Amino acid sequence: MILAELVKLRRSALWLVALVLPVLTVTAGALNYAGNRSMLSSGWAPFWSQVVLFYGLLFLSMGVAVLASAAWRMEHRGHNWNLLMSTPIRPAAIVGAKIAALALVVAFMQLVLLVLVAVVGRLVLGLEGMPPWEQAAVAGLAVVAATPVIAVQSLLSMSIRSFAAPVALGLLGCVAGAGVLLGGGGGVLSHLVPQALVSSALFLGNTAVADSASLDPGAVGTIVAAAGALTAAVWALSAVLLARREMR
Amino acid sequence: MNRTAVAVELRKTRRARVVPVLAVMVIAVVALSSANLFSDSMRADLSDPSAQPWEQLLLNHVVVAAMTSPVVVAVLASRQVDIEHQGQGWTLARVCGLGPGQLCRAKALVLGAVLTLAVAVQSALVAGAGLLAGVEVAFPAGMWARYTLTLALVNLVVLFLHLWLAARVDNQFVGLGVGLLGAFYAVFALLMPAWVALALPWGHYAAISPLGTGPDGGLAAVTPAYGVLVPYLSAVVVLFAVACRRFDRAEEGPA
Repeated sequence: MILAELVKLRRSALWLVALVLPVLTVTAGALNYAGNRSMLSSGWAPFWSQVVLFYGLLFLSMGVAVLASAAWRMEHRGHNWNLLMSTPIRPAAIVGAKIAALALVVAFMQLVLLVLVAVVGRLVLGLEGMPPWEQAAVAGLAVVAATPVIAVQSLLSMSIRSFAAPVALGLLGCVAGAGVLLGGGGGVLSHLVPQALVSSALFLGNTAVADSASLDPGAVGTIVAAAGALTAAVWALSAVLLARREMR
Repeated sequence: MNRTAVAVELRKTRRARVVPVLAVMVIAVVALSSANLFSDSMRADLSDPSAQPWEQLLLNHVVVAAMTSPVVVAVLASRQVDIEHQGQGWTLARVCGLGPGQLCRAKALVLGAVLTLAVAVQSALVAGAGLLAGVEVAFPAGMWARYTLTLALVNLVVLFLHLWLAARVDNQFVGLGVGLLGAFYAVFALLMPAWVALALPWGHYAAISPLGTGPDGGLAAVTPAYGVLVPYLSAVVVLFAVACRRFDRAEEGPA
């Protein structure tokens, strides 16, 4: 099923966004780091902090919203819903495959981000050594933290025929997530709003964000547990909706 | 401008829920821009002119508007045009004597008016939040009004671009992808030299910022490059008008 979903996405322009977004992120982060070297301390940590600042706050979640709409768009076209629902596959498996395929796309984005950070940091900015393992861990954790956003956007894109409406709702989620984090209302709320969870994960150990948690087993465990619980809940809800409602 | 086309577009905005979408976004932008006004650490600064409370608030508004406006405009344009792609609206309108270009102009007029109103309300609400929080420093009305006006103008130009794009390409993914990348460009243009911000229309969300960093590291009033902005914005309006005329002359729909 997951392979079938990836085959569907093979010729989609979605990969362009998955590639361009990290490229822009690293380019902008590098320009910002280079332009403010006198104010920032030198090294991989400040560079990484600049790279993921707005990416964590808004653009990763918004990228997921656009990717999810693109992934479900093909099912809303022609008679694809009839074809899909007449296959002997359970609704939970259909939704699960979509979520898993999108998670792989996000993992690809994070991999591109990491490779570009290493290449640009070493060759363009002249940073010494290689990026510390913590950055790879945070990038990987962000994929896990992004899964609830994928599940929510997938649910919205599945239920709403319009391409743009789920993206608008995703933007609202991002604003709510940013509000939760910037308003200092962390704690439970920041683990319940999916977009805030993505920001919390990407900001672990971030030197540019005040009050960001450090990368320790406690913080990682909480994020993974929250991501798992939220994803499972939304996945189950999506499967129930798909089984009971007629999608068009 | 054909009155029937405008009236029909107004009805379509109801179907596309343009006003509720904008209302929610305005509330979200105001909340995010003014969130730190009500924090304990900010409270002492509200009556201190050297803390520049109004400037801080306006800068928050500039950043949040740059982050969200490109996506909101892309969503609105995309929804308003997708109706035609989905329901053979181009053909139906042509049969009724309305060319695709006329339809696009009517969409621009209706969405432009609603967007401009939303910007005015949003800006007034951000200022209202400052007053509500108890800022006692003199309100920089001129700077605030100039920013509001230029934000509305940049929104209009980006709206024209997205309407053209949405009409040309029926896959909404393209318009929204461009909107997302545009938002990214707008935010990072805030941190880049002015020429980077002026290079692309989305960067103008940053180029219109009336605030920059002063020699003492605090916020200082700056004059946006109106000499570049105005011709640039005018050129996009002319190009949109030309594109609409071409749509009207094309045999098929614009896509």
